[in-house]
Amino acid sequence: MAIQGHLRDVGLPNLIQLTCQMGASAQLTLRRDEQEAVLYFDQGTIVHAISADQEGKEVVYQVLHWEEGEFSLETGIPPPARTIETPWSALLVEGLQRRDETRWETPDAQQIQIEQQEEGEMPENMNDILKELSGQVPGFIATAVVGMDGLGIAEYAAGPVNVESINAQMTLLFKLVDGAVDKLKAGVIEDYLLTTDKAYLLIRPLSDRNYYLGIAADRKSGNVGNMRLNSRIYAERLSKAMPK
Amino acid sequence: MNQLEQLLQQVRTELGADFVSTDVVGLDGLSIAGGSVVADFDSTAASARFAMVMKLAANVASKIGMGAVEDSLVTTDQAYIITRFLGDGSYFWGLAVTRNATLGMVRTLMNEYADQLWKAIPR
Repeated sequence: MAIQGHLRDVGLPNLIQLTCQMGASAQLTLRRDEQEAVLYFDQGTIVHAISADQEGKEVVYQVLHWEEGEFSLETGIPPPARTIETPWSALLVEGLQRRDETRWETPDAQQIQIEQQEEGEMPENMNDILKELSGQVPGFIATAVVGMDGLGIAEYAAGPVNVESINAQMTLLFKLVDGAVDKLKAGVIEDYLLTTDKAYLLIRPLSDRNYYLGIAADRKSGNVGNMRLNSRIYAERLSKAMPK
Repeated sequence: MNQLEQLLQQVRTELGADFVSTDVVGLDGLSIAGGSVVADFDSTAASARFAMVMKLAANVASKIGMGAVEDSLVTTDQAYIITRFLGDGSYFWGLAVTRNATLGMVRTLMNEYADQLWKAIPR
């Protein structure tokens, strides 16, 4: 049986993530206006993608620009070919990065960027705030301001930490949590804390909810109350420092 | 009432008016015991959705080298929703309480009951 829906309700990155998590063979058909693309999954990753004029990972990058359209997901369908070897998470990061770059190429976005540079706003300012935050959190590991596309716009780490990977992975998780809370009508998320045997990972959406503040602290020396308090204080400051 | 349900009932009693909902759920997303004070609360949907969250959380934590997930806490403007793995991680325990609840106390309570719940799961 196929699962069908609208991309605007689920978001294609979430859909890809969930399908990969299922680990089964699956065919994801995407339609927007007159365009159609099909992604094939096998053993938890994307192995093939095809559209009217091309195949392979370029098709994945192309459809990640689609915010509107319909999808149909059918499990148990083996891939007819294997044209993609890149891990799905890397495909997502690259695809979303390309989408982001395309957006910045529009005249309006360029104008905003120029104005920000002229006024000396961001990113130094936000990085300074994050650096200050690092001094307030016991067991501090890393912090970042991240967009809902999983890309960080400012970050600070205490050591050699792959902040980019943390940003991408935690965004996927947060979006799934946000979707679950929304469907259950359990209110609006103020923060999300993941506790592991090694670390505390905290996410707090900024006021526009298009970005969030993420903080990672060591499990042994970290303090949940402190992290939540500081995330509130600094999220407010970072919201004000965001470029308009 | 089996032992698992008795333990969940005790938790519910200890939380009093702050209690909203609780379930012990397998990683297949199916609840094996639980209850809610909210009449139209969709326990089936909540169990299934948070099973996906816990699976993804475990995967994410492993990928970013942050170890094994112990629990997940969502704070909304209406509730605290805490989910934590039990035993070998094949089940998790979800608990929702109102924002009036004392979060530290809820976490402590979950620490106290987690092992008992794991042992009470029928095998």
